[in-house]
Amino acid sequence: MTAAPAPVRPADVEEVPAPILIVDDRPDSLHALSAVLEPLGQPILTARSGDEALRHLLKEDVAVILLDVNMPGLDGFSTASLIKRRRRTRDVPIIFMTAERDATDRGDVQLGYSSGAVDFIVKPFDPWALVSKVGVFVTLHRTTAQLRRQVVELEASRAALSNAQRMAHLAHFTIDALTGQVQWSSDARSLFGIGPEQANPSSRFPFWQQVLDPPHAGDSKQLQATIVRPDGSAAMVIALVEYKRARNGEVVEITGTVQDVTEQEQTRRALAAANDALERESASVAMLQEAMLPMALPSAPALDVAARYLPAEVGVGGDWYDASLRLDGQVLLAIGDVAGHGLRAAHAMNEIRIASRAFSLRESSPSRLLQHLNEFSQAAGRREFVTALMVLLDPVTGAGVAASAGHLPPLLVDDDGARFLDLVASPPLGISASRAHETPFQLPPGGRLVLFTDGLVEERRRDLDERLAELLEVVEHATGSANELVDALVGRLLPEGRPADDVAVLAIVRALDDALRIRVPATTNHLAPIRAMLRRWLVANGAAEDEVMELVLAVGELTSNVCSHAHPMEDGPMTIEARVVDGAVQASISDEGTWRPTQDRGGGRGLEIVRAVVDDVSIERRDDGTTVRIVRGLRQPGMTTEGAHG
Amino acid sequence: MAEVDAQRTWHHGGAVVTIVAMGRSVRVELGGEIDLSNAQHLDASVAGAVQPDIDELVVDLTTTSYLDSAGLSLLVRLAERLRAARIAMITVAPANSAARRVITLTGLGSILGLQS
Repeated sequence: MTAAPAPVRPADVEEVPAPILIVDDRPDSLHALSAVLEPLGQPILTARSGDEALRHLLKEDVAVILLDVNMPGLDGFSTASLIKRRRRTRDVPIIFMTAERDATDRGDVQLGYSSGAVDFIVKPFDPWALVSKVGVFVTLHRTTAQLRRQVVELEASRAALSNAQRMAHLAHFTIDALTGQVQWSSDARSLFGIGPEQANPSSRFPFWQQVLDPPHAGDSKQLQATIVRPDGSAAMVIALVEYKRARNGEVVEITGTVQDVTEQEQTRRALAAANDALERESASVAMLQEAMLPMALPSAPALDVAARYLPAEVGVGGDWYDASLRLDGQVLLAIGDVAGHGLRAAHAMNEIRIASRAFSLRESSPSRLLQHLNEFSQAAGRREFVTALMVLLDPVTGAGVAASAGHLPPLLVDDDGARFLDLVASPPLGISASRAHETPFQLPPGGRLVLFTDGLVEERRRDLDERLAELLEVVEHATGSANELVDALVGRLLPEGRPADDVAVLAIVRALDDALRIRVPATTNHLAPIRAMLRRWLVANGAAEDEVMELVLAVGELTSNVCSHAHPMEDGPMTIEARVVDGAVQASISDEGTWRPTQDRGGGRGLEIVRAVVDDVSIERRDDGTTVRIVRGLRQPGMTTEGAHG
Repeated sequence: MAEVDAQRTWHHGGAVVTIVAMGRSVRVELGGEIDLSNAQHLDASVAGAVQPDIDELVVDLTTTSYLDSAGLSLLVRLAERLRAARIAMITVAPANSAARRVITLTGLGSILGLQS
């Protein structure tokens, strides 16, 4: 069977390199970034100017570009614009690096997006987060390459199929039922492997058994079978067999028209396999799109956060969500919906997500954030319908503030049951200059908060109010973790899996007890949020100003120690716990690494400071990590009124 | 009142450093929280303030809300550089402030020229 061209066998996808281009005028930056990204195992190209970057891009196909905003000569934005203008590099993702927090004041976000940014990071950045982000684009690059090859393969298979169909041979045979004699066409002889001397086919074979078994009624039947030739080779055939009967009903003649469909069958199977592969790849591209959404949800004391994103049946759409732990220890949650599907919606979604992240560097008020996004959307002149909901939550006190721009309100479960937060209605983004209003609320210990997009509740055949009531019911009766809650929601509201529209759900459960529990990667960017959360927790537990200051100092030193050298190879987690027992604060700081306590980076001062401000310090060193425990009595311990420090 | 010749400000995470040049004196104002995440960056900004033609450098910790051993190391290194350049160092920190507390706890008051 050599009629069909052999399908292209692509090289193993693992071999597709995904080069990373880093552009920064400072050599120390280039060096540091190369070192951080080295574990990804991809070729790293460096350029010290926009011009050099463009020269690289003439020769190389890169997976992602890290571009410094502040460069002399051709700056980051202009470089990006030039990159986007070239057809070959138009779709390469660009991550802008900016060194200043006032990036938003300078309109960098606007400029950045219109220059084609896919993301924005601010130095000093979390190296672990950078590797993950860049890693996503590396995988995307390789998967796209494989996807392209699959398409080529698919097209080759399709061509093969139509070829095979055109060349299918028809074979004939006639059997005299009375004498048993068979007449073969020459095609039939070769199809069945019948030699010139043979006359009768063997009735052992199932195909012939069926041929020789006339139907009770009717004059014909269709067969599909695999036949095996005497030489052992096989073929797939379909046959139309007709039975001529005498007046008494007895069969006198059997004629058959047989078509060899082996080639077609093989090609059909190849096509099905290619289709399956393509579907799997599309699913993984969707997963990667999903991966552009936050990969690690913030871990805050007493807050259990879980999220789910389900792309629509028709393909990836424009739902987005974000959850971040701010420097001041508060958690900012965002969720939104860009109407539509496909690339345009995904682009718009990404644009809003970047803008939201950038604006939230300086702004924590949900209503002001929405105002910024509103102005941004209007300036961008986008015609898509964009909704957004922002919630700021204090994990220590449970105090929250929410604001919405055309988005469904979040659901709150507290001691009074489940209800939707009563937010002031406001139009979606980009439509008018209206101001969003903020609504405060309180999430008590044990309380739940759910943010979601309308894909979760909208269904053609069901009444919206009914669905919302169902949602309320599921959340009200859920007990257990945030993950269990989202599972229950998805399981109950979307039993069939792929929804008609994108779905994003963010669920937060506040723990019942008053202990402080924080678990985060041991990287220095988490030090400030930890201090902020601890500070508020101490105040809420009756600590005086000087006691707060000294305990924060002690924990600050101990957590810095863990960041410095507990996990020299990779960023393991550190866990900070605190509770008030018998009028004293008992806190512990644990890591999972193997640190050498004598290498105190503070020059020996760190532990000295800790010992000076607490009543007791004990260090437990185990094979799997170290835990330092400190105790300090409070003069007037006691929980203050809930919400008094919101 | 000495006139300000030049003033520059940098932000590094949760901290801000302002360097004010006033004749033969330089004032380094450190605000916000100084910890392991930004101490090195601040160091770079502050190092630029040590010029050969000045007589004294004042480190103003009035608006410093958090200072631990990471920030102290930065200040000690600065003190060493200034001593080598024969430039006087004065550190200003309000009574009962977090910055003052940690300097006195570690006995670094005299090295840093802590003013009473």
